[in-house]
Amino acid sequence: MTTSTQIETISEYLVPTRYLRYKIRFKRFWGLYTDSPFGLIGLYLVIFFLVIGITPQILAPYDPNISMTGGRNAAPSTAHPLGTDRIGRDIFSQMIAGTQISLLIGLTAAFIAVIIGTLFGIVAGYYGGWSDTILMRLTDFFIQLPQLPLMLVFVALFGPGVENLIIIIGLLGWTGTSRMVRAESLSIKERAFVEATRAVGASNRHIILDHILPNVLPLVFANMILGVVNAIISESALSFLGFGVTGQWSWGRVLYEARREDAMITGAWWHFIPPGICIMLVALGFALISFSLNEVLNPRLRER
Amino acid sequence: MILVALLEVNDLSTHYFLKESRVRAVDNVSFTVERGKMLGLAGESGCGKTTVALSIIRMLPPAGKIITGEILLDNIDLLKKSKEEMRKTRWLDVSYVFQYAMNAFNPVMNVGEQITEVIIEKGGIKSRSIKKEAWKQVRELFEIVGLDPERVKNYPHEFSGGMKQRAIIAMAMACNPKLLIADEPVTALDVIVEKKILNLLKKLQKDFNLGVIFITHDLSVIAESCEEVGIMYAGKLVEVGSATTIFHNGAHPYTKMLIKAFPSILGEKTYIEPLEGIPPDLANPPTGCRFHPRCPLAIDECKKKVPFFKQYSSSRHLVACYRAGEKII
Amino acid sequence: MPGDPTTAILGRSGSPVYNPGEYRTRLIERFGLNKAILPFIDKDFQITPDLNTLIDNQFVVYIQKLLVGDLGISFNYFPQEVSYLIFGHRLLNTILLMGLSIVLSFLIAILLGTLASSKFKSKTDMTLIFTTLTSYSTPVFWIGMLIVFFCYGQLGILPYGGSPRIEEYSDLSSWGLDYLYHMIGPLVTLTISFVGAWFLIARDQMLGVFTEDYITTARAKGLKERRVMFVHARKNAMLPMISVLALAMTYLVSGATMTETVFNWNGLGLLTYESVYRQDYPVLQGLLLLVAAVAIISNFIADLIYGLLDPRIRY
Repeated sequence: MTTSTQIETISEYLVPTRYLRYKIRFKRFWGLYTDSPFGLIGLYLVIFFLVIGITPQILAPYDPNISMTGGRNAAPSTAHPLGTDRIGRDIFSQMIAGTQISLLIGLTAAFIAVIIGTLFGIVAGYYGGWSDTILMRLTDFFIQLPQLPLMLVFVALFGPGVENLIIIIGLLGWTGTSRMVRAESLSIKERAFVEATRAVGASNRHIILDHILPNVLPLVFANMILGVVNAIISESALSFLGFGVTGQWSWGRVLYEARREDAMITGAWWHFIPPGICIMLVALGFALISFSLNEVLNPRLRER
Repeated sequence: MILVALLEVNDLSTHYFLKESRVRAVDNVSFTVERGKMLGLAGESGCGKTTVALSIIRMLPPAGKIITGEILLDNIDLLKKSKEEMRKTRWLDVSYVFQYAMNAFNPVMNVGEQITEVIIEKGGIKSRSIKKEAWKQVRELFEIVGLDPERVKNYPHEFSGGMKQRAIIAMAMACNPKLLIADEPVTALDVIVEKKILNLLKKLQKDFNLGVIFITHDLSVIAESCEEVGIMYAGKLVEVGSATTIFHNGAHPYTKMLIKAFPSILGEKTYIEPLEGIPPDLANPPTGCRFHPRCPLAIDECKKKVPFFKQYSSSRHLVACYRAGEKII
Repeated sequence: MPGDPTTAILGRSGSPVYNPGEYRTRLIERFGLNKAILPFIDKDFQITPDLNTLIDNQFVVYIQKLLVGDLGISFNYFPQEVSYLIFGHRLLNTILLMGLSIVLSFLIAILLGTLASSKFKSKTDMTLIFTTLTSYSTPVFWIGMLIVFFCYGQLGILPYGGSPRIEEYSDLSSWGLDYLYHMIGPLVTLTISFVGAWFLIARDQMLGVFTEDYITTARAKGLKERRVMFVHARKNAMLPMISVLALAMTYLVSGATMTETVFNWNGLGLLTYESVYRQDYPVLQGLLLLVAAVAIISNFIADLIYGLLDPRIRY
C-alpha cells in the first residue's frame, strides 16, 4: 500500500484510511481558499473574537453586574474603556462576557441546524421515495414560516434563556442546508462511480460515509458558517427585544439595556455602538468566510 | 482579373496566457478561403481549430491573445479593427455556428425574436416597418433551411435537435454574411440528420456564394462536402490543399496516418493502424516539428528546425515536412 | 396550521394576567377558558373520557369563530377585538413601509447585481460585495439605532419615530407629508438590510447566466453589450428572484418587528412584540394565522408568475 505524502489524484483512493483521504482534500482546498483576500480577513476576524470568547474571565477587568464607583453613564475613560451604563456597570466587561455567550449561541445553534439539515438532506436525497417526499414537504413548510415571530412565540411559550435560544434558532435554521444537501446527494448518487461501487457490492453505509458525505461536507460547512451569521443576528435580535439571554450577558442584551436607557437620545454612544460593531464584525467575519468558501466550491464562478 | 480571396489568414499566432504557463495554441497558421467554397479544417481534439476560428471573429476567452498575424476579409484586416468596429462586423460579414449549438438559443425568448433582433440591430433603424420586414425575412429563412415558417414564434425547447441546428443556420444567414464558420455543427447529430444539414450547407454555399469554414475531427464529413482541406496538428497547419489532393495524394505523414485511421465501408477490411502516443502539451511543445515524437519518418532535422510550409504538388497544395511524400513503411 | 400549538396556551394563560375573584371567573367563562382544550384533553391538560369534549372544546370554538371572522378579543387592549387591532391602520402602516422598502431594495439589488457581475472581480465588484456583506451582517435594529442616534439625537433631521395618525391632521396632504417624513428612517434601515441580503443572490444569478452558451452566441451575433446584459442575461437570471420575492411577501405582513420597535412605527411588527411581551395570546394567534395565510398565498402566486414568465414551464 502506498502511503506517500505526495498525493496525486489517481492514487488518492489507494490511501488506506478514511481520515487521510479527508485530510488530503482539505489541503487542496486551503490553497484555493487563500487566493481571495476576503477569506483571510474573515478568518482573522473570527479567530480574534473566538479567542476573546474562550477566556472572558481573564480579559474582563470587572464583574459586569456590579455597579462601579466610576460613576453612572460615564463616557469612556482609562478606567472604563467603554464607559458605564446608567447603573454604573462597566460596559467593557459586559462586552467581553457577551462575546462568549453570543458566540456560543451562534455556533451551537448553527451546528444543530446543520446536523438536522444534513441528516434530512442525505436521507431524502439518497433513499428517495417516501422519505424524500415527506422531508421535502416538511422543509417547504418550514421555509415559509417567518422566523422572528415564530421565535417570539417559542419564547412566549417556553421562556427565554440560553438553552432555549439555542434550541429555537437551531430548529428554524436547517431548511437551507437540507435542500442543498439533498440536491448534492442526489447528483452524487446519480454519478457513474456510485453505481460502480454498488456493483462491487458496497453497503449503503459505505457509500454514504465514503462517497456522499465527503463530497457534501464542504458545502455543508459553508452553509454552517452562513448559519452562524443568522444565528448571531437572531440571538441579538431576540435579546434586544428583551426575550433572549437574561441572567448572563450577550451583546444583544447590552443593546437592550442601551435602548431601555434611551442611549440613542442621551448621546451615550459608548453604550450602543460597541455591541453593534462587534456583532457586525463577527457576522461579517463569518460572512466573508462563507463568501470565499462559495467562491472555492462553486466551479462556475471560477471559470470566467 | 484577379479575384481577391474572401478570407486570407496570414501567419496567425494565438496563445493562451494562463497563471503559470503560456499555451501556444496556434502558431504561424496561414490559409485562404475562396468565395463559394468550403474549407474543411480537420485535426484531433485540442489541435487549435476552434482557436483559429475564434481568432477570426475575435471572440477568444479572456486568457487568449492574438500575438501576430493578419486576417484579411475582402482585403480588410480584421485584427486592426477596434472592438466596436469588430462588433459591427460580426454577423454582418462573418457569422459563426458554435460547437454547442444545442444551447445557442436563449430559452426564454422565441426563436424568431432572436433572429429579428440581430437583423434589426444591424439595420440600424428601429421602426415598425423594419420589424415587419425582419419577420418576413425570418419566415423566408425558415423556408430556406427547411423549417415550417409558421413556427417562427416557437420557443427553442419546442424544436428537436436537428431542427434547432437548422434554426441556428437560419440565424447565421440572417444578415447575409460573406463567410460562415461552422464549428463541429453536425457532431452531435445522428447520421441521417447530419446528411440533411450538410446538404443544406452546400445549398447555401451555392445559392449565396457563401464561403464556409467547416471545422471537424471527422474526416469522412470533410471528404463528402469540402472543396479545400486543411489539416492541423498541435496548433500548426501541416498540410493544405484541395480535397482530392489531400485524400489521394496526401504528403504529410500525419495526413496519411489520419486518413488511414478512417476505415472505408467498401473495400477490404484492413488493419487500422492507431497513431502512437498522445498530442503534445502546448505549453511546452516539442522543438522543431511538433509531430516528430510520433512520426515514423522523423529524422534529426525534424527535431531542430520547424519545417516551412512549402508548395508540394501544385501551387495550391502546401505541406510542412522535410520528408513530404515519402512512403511510410 | 401554526395556530395549533398556541391554542393550547389558552388553557394556561388563565393564571398570571387577571384580577382575582369573581371578575376572573367571569372572564374565564367569557373567554371559554374553562372548556376542554382538545377532544379528550381538558383545560388542565389531563386526559378525560368526557365525550362532550369531542365537540365542546376550545379548538373547535376557535375554528367556529374564525369562520365567522371573529378572532377573539385582545387581552392587552381589552376590550378591543383582535381583528380590529390587526386589520386596522396597523396593517396599512406595515404594508406601506414593508412594501415600499421591498420594492426599493429589489430594484436596487438587481441593478447593483447586474453591475457587479458585469465587472466581475473588479474593484467595483469587490467594493460592492464588501459593502453589502457588511450591511447583511449588521443587525437591522442596530442600523435603525444608528439612524436614530445620528439623524435625531445629533442632527435633529428626523423625528424620533411614530407613525402619524390621520385623525390628527387637518388635511390629507399635510398628513401625507408628515407620514412620509416619519417613514424615512425605518425605510432606509429596512432597505439597507434587504439589499444586503439580495444583492449577492442577484449577482450570483447573473454570473451563472453569463457562462451560458446563449450569451456567447448573443455576443458573437455582434449585439450591443447592453442588450446582451439587460435583455438576454437578465431575463433568465431574474426567474429565481421571483421566488425570493415570494418569500419576502411574508415579511409584508409579519412586518419588521425589530425596525418597527426601534422607530415606534405603529405596525404589525410592533403589535407582535407587544403581544409577546404582554402575553396577549389571541392577538398573537391572529397574527400567526395571518402570516401563515399570506405565506401560502404568496407562494402560490409566485408559482403562477414563474409559470407565466418561463416559457419552458407552460405545458
